[in-house]
Amino acid sequence: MEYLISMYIDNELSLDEKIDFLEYVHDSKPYKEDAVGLLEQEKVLSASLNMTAPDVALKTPHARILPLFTRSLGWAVAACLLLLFPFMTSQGPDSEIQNQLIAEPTTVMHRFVIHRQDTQMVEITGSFTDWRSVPLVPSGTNGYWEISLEIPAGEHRYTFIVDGSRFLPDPTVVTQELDDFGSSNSILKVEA
Amino acid sequence: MSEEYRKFYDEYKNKLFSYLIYKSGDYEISRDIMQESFTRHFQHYGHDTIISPALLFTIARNALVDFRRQEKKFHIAEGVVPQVAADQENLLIAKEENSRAYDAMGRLSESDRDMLSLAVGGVAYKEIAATLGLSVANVKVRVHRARVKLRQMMNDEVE
Repeated sequence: MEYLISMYIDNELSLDEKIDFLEYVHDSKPYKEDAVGLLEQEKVLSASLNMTAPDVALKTPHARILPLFTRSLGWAVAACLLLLFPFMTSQGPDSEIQNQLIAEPTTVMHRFVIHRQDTQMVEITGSFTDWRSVPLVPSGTNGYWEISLEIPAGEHRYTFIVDGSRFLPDPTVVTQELDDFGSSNSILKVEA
Repeated sequence: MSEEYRKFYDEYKNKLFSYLIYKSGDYEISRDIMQESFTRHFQHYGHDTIISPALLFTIARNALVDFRRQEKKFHIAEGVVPQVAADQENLLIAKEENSRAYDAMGRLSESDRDMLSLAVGGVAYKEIAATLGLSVANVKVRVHRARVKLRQMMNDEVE
């Protein structure tokens, strides 16, 4: 159980493992010394490795235009840019999405993934399944479950069902809404 | 950029940058590849709606490999003295202070180094596993072994 030390350093211990770790540290002096030694080493390592990143502009349509202008032409252009901004945004990703909406079919394949270890079954139910439960498939052996579903563009509500009884909103989706039965649904906006 | 992606960017930019600095040892290259990686990742995220940190690191690793391949092609132009920017100077100082750790890291195998620089950077085991195509159990063991190996190397140096 030596690697519990690294898991401790990397904040990866579960509650049970924390108990084990403490007991090892308490029972064995060499184990404690290893742990402290590696923690000391980690201080040096993270001081030499962990850098503060410079801010970079993502090359999205907005970001690409802004730094170029402000850097080269300064305040005058910045002022003009303020005037231009509404036009730039109107030609930004939104209109691209709108164009795609017209050109492409209105359903989109969406992959749902959830991490649930020690479960027998995970299902998904939502507005796009007419609230029927559809089982997810285990993905690998690490406790990931997944399913890809064809979903019409628009706003959808859904939730996972763990072991047939427990409702669990999608932890990767921030927007949630209480339903009429006291549990939460995740809200997903699908843009075609 | 969506609010969600902005949060992701803020959380991961230092982690990615540290990893790239470690891998490339060059401030400018790291910055460029970081920008490239986030851009590509963001475009991908637009289709996926699930933000995957592992994908970000995979993109960055590949970009670095591509860059090195490119660099080898043009390696003949070696006479140019690179300019040392203020940031790079700071980096050099930081490097020297911790040069022992750095050197020892340099002597680890490529895969140990990958793993350790991700772990030290605070990337979750789950994401390291997905990035490097390993199981989480495997990452647990190998991260620890790499740490122990590193310590051994540094101790040997002192003696």
